[in-house]
Amino acid sequence: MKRWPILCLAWAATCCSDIPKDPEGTLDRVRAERRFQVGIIAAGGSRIGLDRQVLMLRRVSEATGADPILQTGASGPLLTRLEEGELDIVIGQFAPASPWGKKVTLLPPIGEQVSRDGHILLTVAARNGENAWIGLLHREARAVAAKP
Amino acid sequence: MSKGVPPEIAADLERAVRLEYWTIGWMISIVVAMGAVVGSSQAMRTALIEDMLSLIPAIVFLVAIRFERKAPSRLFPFGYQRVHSLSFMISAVALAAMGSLLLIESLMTLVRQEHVTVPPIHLFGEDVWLGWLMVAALLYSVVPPVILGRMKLPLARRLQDEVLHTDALMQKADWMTGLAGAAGVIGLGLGYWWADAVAATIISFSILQDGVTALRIATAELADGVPRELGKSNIDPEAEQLMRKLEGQYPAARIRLRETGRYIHAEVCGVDADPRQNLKILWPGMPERSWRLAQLSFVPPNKETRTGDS
Repeated sequence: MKRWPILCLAWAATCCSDIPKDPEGTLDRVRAERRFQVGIIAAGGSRIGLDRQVLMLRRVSEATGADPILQTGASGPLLTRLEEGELDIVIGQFAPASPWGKKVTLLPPIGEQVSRDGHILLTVAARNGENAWIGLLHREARAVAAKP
Repeated sequence: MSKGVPPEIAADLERAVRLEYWTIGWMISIVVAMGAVVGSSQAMRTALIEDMLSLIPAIVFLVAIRFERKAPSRLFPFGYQRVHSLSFMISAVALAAMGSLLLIESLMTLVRQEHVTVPPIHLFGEDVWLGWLMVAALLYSVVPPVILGRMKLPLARRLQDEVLHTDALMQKADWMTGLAGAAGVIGLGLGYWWADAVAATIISFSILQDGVTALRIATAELADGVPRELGKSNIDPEAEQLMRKLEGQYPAARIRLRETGRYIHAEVCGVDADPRQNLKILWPGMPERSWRLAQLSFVPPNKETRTGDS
């Protein structure tokens, strides 16, 4: 009888270590398939933040053991595909009050610049609600942002 | 009556006022704790709004007591006893309206199948999933209201106070909100996107239910309905005993009772005024509750109002 509390605690600790999970299983799929789909928002030939994008992808790749599959395009179609689960992340420049902020999850910026158009953030976007995947991306984005 | 309230209930009333000030203090601390970690969880947001709404009965009670203690004036010759019922109606409308809005919003989230993101936050050099902080805040939000609710309930019965009673019941049942919210957040963490919206639906339904119950009681009071049992829609047993006693004493008369705040007003229609009557002796219940009968009036034969004839 006395073992029950210990077993319950062990069960709770095991469950808790697995939280959060992804409703659509993104992180598990990325690890299982060893690849993740990346959309890069075309910035009209601008190479601003390219090194940070590369660093971000490298870190995610190391953390998951998966390779990024890249595709470039305009923000609208890429973010729509992200919402529908065809892409795993989208990297690009976003305005701080981007309307996409409600449809997808914008992670902490990995870089920023002030131009004539205002404040622009170099950010990674992920599909809403994939909390385990978002947790991993959060950690890596913050590490990239901390680099001088 | 001392300061507009009967001396028999003055001490209980003071204690109730102190408890309501404590309630406001504790609820503000809960609202701050929950507001700090609310994120985009709908269950969390609904629980936060419920905790904010639970401030209303406490504030309403304190405002109503201030009025109840005021002496009648030339413009308000019957005093301010009914302010109590009026403020109760205001809090009931607020609860019912907010409950309906939140219920619609959470159902829409379920229909649209919105997936909620709960990100990690960086705390003391560690990444902590915000959901855990939400669960901690929700569990904290359970403890003070349940204790305060249990302390208020006997006071509300002795004071025959609907606002305090509703407040006590809402707080006593607050553990369900906290646990539903925590279950919703943990469900979200386990990958069930709908858990959060289902928890929000349950919480908003409980807010709506509280609002509708309060609305029914407040309407009965304001529409001069017969005194109701505390927190219920059936006739108050003490009022029923009083009615039977008056019917026994004046068999030819028609007896009407109504409730103004915590007090009962009795009207004996169809007989001349009886100068021998004493309200304390007339009260059929426990002597320490005789303060409830605040007025007995007589309507002589052929002087009854048209509404009274129906």
